[in-house]
Amino acid sequence: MGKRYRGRMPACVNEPSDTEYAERARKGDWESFSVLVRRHQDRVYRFVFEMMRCREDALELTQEVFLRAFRALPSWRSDALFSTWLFRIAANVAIDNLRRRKLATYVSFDECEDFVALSPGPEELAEAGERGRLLEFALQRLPPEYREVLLLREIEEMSYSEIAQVLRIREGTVKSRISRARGLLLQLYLRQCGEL
Amino acid sequence: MKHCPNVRELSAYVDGELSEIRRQRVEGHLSRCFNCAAALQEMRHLRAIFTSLPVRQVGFDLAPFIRARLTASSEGTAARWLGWCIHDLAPLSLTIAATVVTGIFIGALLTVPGTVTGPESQAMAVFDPVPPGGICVGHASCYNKGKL
Repeated sequence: MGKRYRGRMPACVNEPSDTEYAERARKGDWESFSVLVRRHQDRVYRFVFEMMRCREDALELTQEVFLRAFRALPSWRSDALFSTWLFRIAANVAIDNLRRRKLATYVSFDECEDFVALSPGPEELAEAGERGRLLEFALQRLPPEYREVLLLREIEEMSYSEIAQVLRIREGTVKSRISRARGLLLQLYLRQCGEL
Repeated sequence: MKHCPNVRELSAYVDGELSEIRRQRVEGHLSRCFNCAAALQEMRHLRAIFTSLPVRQVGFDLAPFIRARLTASSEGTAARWLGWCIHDLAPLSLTIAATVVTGIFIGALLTVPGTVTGPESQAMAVFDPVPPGGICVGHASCYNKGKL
């Protein structure tokens, strides 16, 4: 399976890279930063949306991510991938926000027995009949630390090394966190589908 | 591989994050172990479901909104600074000015000629640099002739 292009496809081959635009933006060129926003806004938004599960919050926080990025551009080092750096900010913003709002409700393996009570009702299930929607419901119940690592892996298709850079954790921690997250998500998903 | 690989190994295998040697060992085991093959199948199934997640998009250009917020925040910072100057620095400046004026006024009172006169006394003369018993020529406290 070929690796898809992350972010908006450049219009032509000669279009400057993120690094070049970020260098220009660092010198105060707003237009360059606008290009970076347009390139990455959907990726950041999707990540933040799956973390927050609310369009208004996700839009607000996506803007917050870019605001913070613009202000922190002087500290950005050009040897780091701009997108990796941006996702680090996005992960911090999302987790901070969840903690502040105390929305970080999740279930552990032991609490899975109670999951039926937390799962959507028959009407919601009928509306969200697709597998993707069911997965979103299950993702919602994961601890944020598990959710973010899975989203970076499965949606952003980042390698363990990239995830480790984004979250500033060791690759071994990424490996174990992903496997635990998968185990828990699988249980939640199957329970949701009534297959367990 | 005689024993089943742990979940971490299987998960890393699904992600293609195992070294070549480990990958071959896991594959060799998977061909013989029904349970591990089933677990692997579940993980792959889960990965496949991720591709069916709805693709969420912003739907419009966020850049102008971000720029507006940046401008507003910088203007807000300037306004806050100005407000801080007016509301916080003005009383402080007035207090400092009042203190300085009061100090000058009291100082002026003390230095007006004739308003303050110190007592005329020679009591400090005992601290003369002449040691006790030394000859002190002509100092009044050494020759208290009235008592002798």
